[in-house]
Amino acid sequence: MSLLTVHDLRVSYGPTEIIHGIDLSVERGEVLTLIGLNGAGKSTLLKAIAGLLPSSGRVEFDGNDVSRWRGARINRAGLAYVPQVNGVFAGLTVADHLELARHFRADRRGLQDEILAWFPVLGERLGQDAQTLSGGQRKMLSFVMALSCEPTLVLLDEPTEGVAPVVRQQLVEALHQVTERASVLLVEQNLDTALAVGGRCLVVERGMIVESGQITELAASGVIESRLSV
Amino acid sequence: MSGVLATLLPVDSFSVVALVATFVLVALGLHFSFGLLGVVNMVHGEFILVGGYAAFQFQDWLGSPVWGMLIAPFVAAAVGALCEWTLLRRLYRRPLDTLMVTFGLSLLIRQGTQLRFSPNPRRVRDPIGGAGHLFGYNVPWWRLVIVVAAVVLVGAWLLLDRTSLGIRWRAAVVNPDLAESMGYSVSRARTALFAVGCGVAGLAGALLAPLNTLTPQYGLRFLVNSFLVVILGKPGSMKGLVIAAAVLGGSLGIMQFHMSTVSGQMIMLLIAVVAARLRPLVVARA
Ligand SMILES: Nc1ncnc2c1ncn2[C@@H]1O[C@H](COP(=O)(O)OP(=O)(O)OP(=O)(O)O)[C@@H](O)[C@H]1O
Ligand SMILES: [Mg+2]
Repeated sequence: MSLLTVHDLRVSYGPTEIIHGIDLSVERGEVLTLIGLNGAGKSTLLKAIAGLLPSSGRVEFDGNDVSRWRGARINRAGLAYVPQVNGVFAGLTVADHLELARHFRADRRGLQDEILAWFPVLGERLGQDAQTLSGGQRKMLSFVMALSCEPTLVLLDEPTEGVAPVVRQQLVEALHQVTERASVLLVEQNLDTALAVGGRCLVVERGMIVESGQITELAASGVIESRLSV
Repeated sequence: MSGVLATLLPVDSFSVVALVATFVLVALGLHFSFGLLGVVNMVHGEFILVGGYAAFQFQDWLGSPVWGMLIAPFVAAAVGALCEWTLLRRLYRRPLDTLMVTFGLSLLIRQGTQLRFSPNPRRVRDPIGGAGHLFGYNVPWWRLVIVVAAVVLVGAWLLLDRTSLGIRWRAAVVNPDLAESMGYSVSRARTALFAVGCGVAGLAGALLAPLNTLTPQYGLRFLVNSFLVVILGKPGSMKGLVIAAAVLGGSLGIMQFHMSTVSGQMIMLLIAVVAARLRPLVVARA
């Protein structure tokens, strides 16, 4: 059985339907990448799966029907979510964030320290207000927070958006580490990063899935390129 | 020090301090519901009312208002949690709707109080009574209790704010979606924060009852000043709240000494308006 199964998911903001009945599944140990133009609805889809937006349809995670669960309960069942924006708490220090992330998992301090070691720069800034971190450092912190709960599935919304090439490289390496520990549902606009991660890929357009296949094949056949050019 | 102050400000200095403490006490509850949660909380005054009448009720039953003062915050917190749980939790981020709902609730609680206790004024006894001299000031003991209570409550909140519970509450307030996605039940945190605010308002109402006459309008007289203090101090900022209470309560206390209460209040409002205009400049420079 798949780790995550989404069936006929629909999400609306007010009267406007943004996600028009999406089906997808993520297997255990798999990486599934979502690609699509700006405004296609990728972030909306991830938020709905994480239980942060009301939706209709059916979401099953790890054998449970979580369609009506709140985000907190879904997280405790083993699903972590890294948002595209607003991934830190203004006014709280980096150390506060790390403490928050292991509140329910006091026994996993070792795990968190291990993940933190991937990003030495964070360890030097424990007392800093997270809001004042650079964009790349905030992405790193989100990463560490999400993984501290030892999730079985991680939803990552553009984890390398707007960061410098070196930092992107660092994050891609971290992504590789993540894929060894958990299943991943990744939103990634950067084709090189997506190819580096590999796996299966879905192309999202106007709230629907229009293509699916192995990312290497979709990229080689030019499908992704043509879908991403307006 | 006290001599200099007395020459500069020929006023009853301790009563000014007590008034500042009163402003802090009544505004503290609103710091939670309005400052942190963004509920335009028109029912805030009624939790002060609930506290005041709880003190009165226990005085009636047991002969001393002290029990009521100890129990009042829990009564008010329970009523507050019920309001949040049944009505307000659906309305966060919809300030106008919270205004209407809390306005309705305030009418309900006021009318209920009137039915139960009649509109006649009631008195709560001063549990200590008397006054003494402290550092050359004339200090009515109960007002000293008010000052100590304000200091203790602000201090307690500042301490709690640094604990892991305080950090979790702050996280739920500043970024509810992220907190939720990390496993924190934001709705539970909001209920708790709202209830704490109501409990603090109830305590304020009980402690201030001996200095006032209790009528069903008892809470209303504190509502405007509470909003002034929280808004002027910048909603969500405890430091700002204390400074605003000092500015507003202090100016009212000094004015009251030199002129009538009404003119004093008008001048305080004027100061509030001017201070609100100046605050962005001051903050930008700081
Ligand atoms: N809170 C909201 N209220 C109303 N409409 C919204 C809201 N959030 C997003 N939308 C709309 O929903 C659509 C999908 O947005 P979404 O953020 O999911 O796109 P995306 O695929 O993640 O885009 P990007 O690549 O730019 O991140 C957009 O048209 C957007 O304008
Ligand atoms: Mg997006």
